[in-house]
Amino acid sequence: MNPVFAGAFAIPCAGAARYLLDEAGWRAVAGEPALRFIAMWADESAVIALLQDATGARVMATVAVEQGFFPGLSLWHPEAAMFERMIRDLWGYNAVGGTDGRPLFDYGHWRLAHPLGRPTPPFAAPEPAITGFAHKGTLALMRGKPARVAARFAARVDGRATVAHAIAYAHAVEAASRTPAPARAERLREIMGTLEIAGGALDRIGRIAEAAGAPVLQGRADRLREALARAAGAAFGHRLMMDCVVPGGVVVDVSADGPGALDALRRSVREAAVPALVEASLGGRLRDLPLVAARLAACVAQVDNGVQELGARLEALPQGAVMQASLVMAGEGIGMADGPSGGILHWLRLEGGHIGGAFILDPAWAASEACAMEVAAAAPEDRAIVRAAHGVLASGMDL
Amino acid sequence: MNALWQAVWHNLFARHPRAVSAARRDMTLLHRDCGSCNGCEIELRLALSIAHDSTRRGLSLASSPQQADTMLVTGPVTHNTQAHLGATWDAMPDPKFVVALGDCAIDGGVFRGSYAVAGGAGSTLPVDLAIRGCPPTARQILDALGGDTTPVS
Ligand code: SF4
Repeated sequence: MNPVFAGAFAIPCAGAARYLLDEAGWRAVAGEPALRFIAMWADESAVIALLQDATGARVMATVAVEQGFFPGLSLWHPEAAMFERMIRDLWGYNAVGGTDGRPLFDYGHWRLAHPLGRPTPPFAAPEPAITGFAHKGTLALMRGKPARVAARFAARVDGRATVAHAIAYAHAVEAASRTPAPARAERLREIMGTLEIAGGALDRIGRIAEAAGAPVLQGRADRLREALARAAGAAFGHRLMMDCVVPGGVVVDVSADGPGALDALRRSVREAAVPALVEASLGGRLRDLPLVAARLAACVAQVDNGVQELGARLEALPQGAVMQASLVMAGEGIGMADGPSGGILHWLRLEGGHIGGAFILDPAWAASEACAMEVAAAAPEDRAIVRAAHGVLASGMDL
Repeated sequence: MNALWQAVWHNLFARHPRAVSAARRDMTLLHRDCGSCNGCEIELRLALSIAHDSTRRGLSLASSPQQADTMLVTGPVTHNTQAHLGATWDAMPDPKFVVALGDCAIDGGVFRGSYAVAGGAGSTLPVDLAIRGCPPTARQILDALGGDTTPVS
């Protein structure tokens, strides 16, 4: 444990150590170089910062909100500025010493301001929106709903990562209620997650090919993406596997046609020979774009690995139930999963089996700024390719 | 517009974009994401890709409102996009049509009632055609938009 947390009150949260700090302790955390800032959000009258210590362990620092104010972190951690803007828009808590006063999501168009804090009438729009177009009020819609019902919103944070978000959410609920899903369900989730990542990789290959003007590669990637959606639909009943993963397990076991459909997919991928086609159609074009080339290579590997392993994994599925009901109604937990664009984290608090508070950290938070910077640095004729390789879309961050 | 009036309006005036003239075979679609989760976009992209050979079905995407005859709305219409959506619609030449693609675009879907969501496309535009599903599959999208539906392997 980092010494800045010595003597701090520990709040139980499954998946990460969580400490309650006074203002001096919070400032000590802010200035501690061994702690890396990851994200920040709020809960009832408190602000929570998620950090990573030198060992890679996650730790949460909590500070009370006094009269609507809390000590900001953006002076020490510039990445915190976006989260401070979100906290003011959604909860109405102001960061003292915050470096960016602009809104992030709320431009005065909502029915009410500060929907997650003490709602007030909306205010006049200060400037045109550049973020927040896709803000749907997901966290407010989840709050107060039974954990199983709120899963539908977790599955719609980003449709390209619907399985990954549903897994991270389910893991958080299962951690909070100390009731793990059955082994068979966990393995089925992994299979769905791998398929989703392969689908996302095909999607990105198709977009890069489109931006680079490589129609043969684009066509092949799009055809495989369609084949993957069909195989997923045959195996799990939904082409994107949306709502298949819920707290406690999965709602569907693999269908009788599943193994055959997934094996046909594996053969199509092999026959399509994407790696050779990528090299032939884009090898020269990407020589001066090493970041794009690296991202494309990662996508090619994701398609291959994801699909090749499926048969062995289906064979190795443990027998047993795919759903485990939980009787524990209260607790707090963190859950994680890997999605097509990177790691996803869900934090939530259960109250009487309902969602008391939640936050969803999509990779778009970290990627959007990096993407904007890379696109700006690229030559004008390369910008579309750089953007396609990043694949950053708003919904995951806008919540 | 309330739900009853919307239903009446729809029954009286709704037209399929293809129904204007028998000779009309092509549709030039302007896609507007008004807050979608990106799920509908995956299926739409596949529907318009070579995997379904949509050019043979006379469907193509426009890059500006001035070129388009059909507005394709995905996602619940968030309050932050509503004004923008209206302005884009106004910039499209007549005759023009609105397709609500997916449950969110029909009535807000799971996001209905949120402080940040105005509702479906009908909250802002006169919807001519609704395509149900969360998301509708590429095939359902193409079937609804009509045209040559010969399966492509
Ligand atoms: S209808 Fe479903 S898939 Fe489409 S945007 Fe809404 S939640 Fe996403």
